[in-house]
Amino acid sequence: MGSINHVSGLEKIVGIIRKTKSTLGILFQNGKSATGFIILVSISIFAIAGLFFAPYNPDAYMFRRSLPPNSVNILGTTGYGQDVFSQLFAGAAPTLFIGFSVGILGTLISVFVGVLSGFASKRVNDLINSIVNIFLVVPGVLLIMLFGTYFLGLKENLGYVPTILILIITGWAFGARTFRSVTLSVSKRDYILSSVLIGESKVSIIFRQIIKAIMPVIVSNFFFTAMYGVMGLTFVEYLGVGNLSQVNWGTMLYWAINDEAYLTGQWWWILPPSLMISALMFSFILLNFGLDEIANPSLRIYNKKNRKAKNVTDTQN
Amino acid sequence: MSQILRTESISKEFMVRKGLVTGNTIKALNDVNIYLEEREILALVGASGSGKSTLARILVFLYRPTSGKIFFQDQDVTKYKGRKLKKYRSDVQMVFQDPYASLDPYHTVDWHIRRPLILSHYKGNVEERIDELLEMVRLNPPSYYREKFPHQISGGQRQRVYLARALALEPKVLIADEPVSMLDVSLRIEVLDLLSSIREKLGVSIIYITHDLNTVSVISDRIYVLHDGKVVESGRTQDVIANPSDSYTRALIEAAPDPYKRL
Amino acid sequence: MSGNPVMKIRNLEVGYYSENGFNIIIHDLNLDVNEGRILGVAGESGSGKSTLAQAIYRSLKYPGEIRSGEIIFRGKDLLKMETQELRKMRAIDISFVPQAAMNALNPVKKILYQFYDVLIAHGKDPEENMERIRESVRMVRLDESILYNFPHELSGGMKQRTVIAMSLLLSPKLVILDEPTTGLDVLVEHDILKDIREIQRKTNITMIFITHDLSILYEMSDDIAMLYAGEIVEKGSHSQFLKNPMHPYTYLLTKSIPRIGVKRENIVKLKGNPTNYDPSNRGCQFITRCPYSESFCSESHPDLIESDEDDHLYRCMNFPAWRKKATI
Repeated sequence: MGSINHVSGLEKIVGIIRKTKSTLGILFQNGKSATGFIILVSISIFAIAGLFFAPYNPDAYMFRRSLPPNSVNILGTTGYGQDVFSQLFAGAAPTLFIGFSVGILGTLISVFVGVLSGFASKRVNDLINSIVNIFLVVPGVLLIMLFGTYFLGLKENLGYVPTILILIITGWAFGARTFRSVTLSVSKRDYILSSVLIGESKVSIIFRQIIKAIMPVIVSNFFFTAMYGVMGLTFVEYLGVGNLSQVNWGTMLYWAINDEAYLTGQWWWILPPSLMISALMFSFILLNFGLDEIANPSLRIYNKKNRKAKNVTDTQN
Repeated sequence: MSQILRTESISKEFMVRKGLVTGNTIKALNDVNIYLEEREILALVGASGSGKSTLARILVFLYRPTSGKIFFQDQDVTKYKGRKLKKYRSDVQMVFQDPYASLDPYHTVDWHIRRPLILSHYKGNVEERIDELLEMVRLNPPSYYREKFPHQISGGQRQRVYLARALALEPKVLIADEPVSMLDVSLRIEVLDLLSSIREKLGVSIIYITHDLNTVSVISDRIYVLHDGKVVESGRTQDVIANPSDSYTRALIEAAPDPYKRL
Repeated sequence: MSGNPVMKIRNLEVGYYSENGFNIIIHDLNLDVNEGRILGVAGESGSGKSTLAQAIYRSLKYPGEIRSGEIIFRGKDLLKMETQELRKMRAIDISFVPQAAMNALNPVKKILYQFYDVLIAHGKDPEENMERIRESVRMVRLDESILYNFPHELSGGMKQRTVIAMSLLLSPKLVILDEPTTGLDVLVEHDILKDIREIQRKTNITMIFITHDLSILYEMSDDIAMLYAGEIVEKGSHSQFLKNPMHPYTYLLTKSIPRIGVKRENIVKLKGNPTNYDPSNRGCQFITRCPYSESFCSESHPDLIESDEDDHLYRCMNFPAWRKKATI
């Protein structure tokens, strides 16, 4: 018995590996998504390594202030005497964590609300729609300050939870609107009507058909929400409702800007976090475009020269 | 012969919003009385805007009529909801116009036919039944088509897959809304022939909705001509086509393209 | 009766790039478009008829590409023309009425100014040519008052008539109509087709007419070119096609059209599905669907042969033998 189970367990693992392989294969079909994926993986490795191997304590004010890059501090020091490279290295993981958390949770909420309202009765739809509109109309700054002050008032160490919650609260509504409108359009298609006629339940139609049909939108919404999460990080810090004692690329930028690093010429302080954030954004955008092209063949551009050469050999054979 | 499906002064109005406040109602159907006999192929003919597609959708309750009644096997089904509506819909199935839109692009042929069998708690062997249905719509060999996705098969084949999906519920009435108008001329007869053999072999009554009198004359027994939401002419197909009494019917016959004629 | 060709297409090769490489849609196509007549291009979906129309108008876009060949129009090869020259020629010499043409109108401009745009684009003064605009609108049997309307105030049929009027505005030598009435109501379609035919008779403009609806194509055309898998399998006049088809495909396709007064049993069911051009097939492209094929049909590729009838070409090695098996 045991050995049989063992074998099927092994087969399962092999199956999972195969599946991952084919998913990666899809990513590498396309130059854009492949590049984006490689950048993202590199940043992730950088982030994981940063958790263990930061050369100095990123928080400690242990150096002379505002040193340009040198042999001890390869990216120089901050205006407060911290090592910039250590901050960049150790701050990568929290930044990624926040980006992905906001992306995943925000998208889940948007999909749930959007699909529900797109496929519900008219009354429920109207109700949800007005709630979504309120969130869209009320300025995000106001929401961030409102919820931020509330969380700050709690005086408990909740880590990054408040920041993530604030970003999700301000970031889900736009996606929900998109999902509502795509769901509305998908649910009017003949193949959904057909499922209604053969007696499929609404839940079954949503999970078996609508989610699949709107998958490309879900993927792209995830990347945009994750981008919003990373960008919003700086913004939250700047409004003074984040936790400034934490080290991430958002707080790094906040302190650099707060100390007017761009006026005093301390490029080594402001440039590294900016470039890393840009690289992360860039990888998200590339992945988004690339996956879009994979899902939608009409956007693809084939390499003319290679194809021609291949075709000639085909006909010769 | 007995009447299986019958409408009693069906009317349908649509609200058309013009501005924020003002609105118009459009009468898509106006006091329509039709009946369908058992094992009959009935044609509903009209140009666009005649209300023929609205009527089809009302008959499967994708729309509710504004007024009037629908009787199925002498039962008033107009107010059916929930479980009763589900049962009615399994008896009265609809085939859509565009086979490129009526099959889910993310699912295989197999899935499309399996779902109705599961939903109707099919008692026998589901696998055998799927093969049987595919053979019935002349998709041979079934195993070849089962794993195909809609985009991998032609328009005519898609329409036949759709027929198999509808027939999986063993309906008594099939409402076919322009089932061949999106197909190449050469593929039309295949689907029309199939509809006719479904009637012969399974005893299904069929409502065939179209604007094309050429195909009507090929398969239907009886005909209703709709114009601006009203029935303007009805009768046996041959009689109506040979001796149209309404000017609108005459115009439709005149407009039916004939390759042997020159414009 | 063979007319004077306004356009000669020679050895045209067109295809699309896809993930499997370059797919040939039109293979080695030779075709003369006779002056003052309507040439109907027939074929099932995938036969390449719309691609051909786009190639002639040079409006084919990537991933489509014209590989080689010549399209000679009034002594010049369209395929060698520069963009500038091409733009001048469009509307003046050749005009195009595309599929779903009613969407080609600018929704925020009154119809009159859209006519102006066509004139201005070709260096003509709109005010001086007002009479010309009125005339082309009258020609498609529209009231002149529509000139002062926005497109959304017109019905689908009226919009389609407007687009046709625009295409006739500069009295072109050749008009290409690609599915000009698809999506319109049957009765409207019939009226517009009748009017197009009448205009053609009056003005003697040469037209290339393309539609997926075979019966309409037969009704409209003087000459017909039958495409199968990217090749012309038969070309001839309307009556030659109906009375003396020389390619089995023409015969079977014509017989497969459902029409009033024909019993279902007498309508031919063409087996199989339309295919694209298959370069690996050394024999006849139609062989997979042909009920009359012989063993030699798979051995070599048939050429387009001139028959003893005037201007009647066919691509079949088994003619006239197959006709003995077919009952007309």
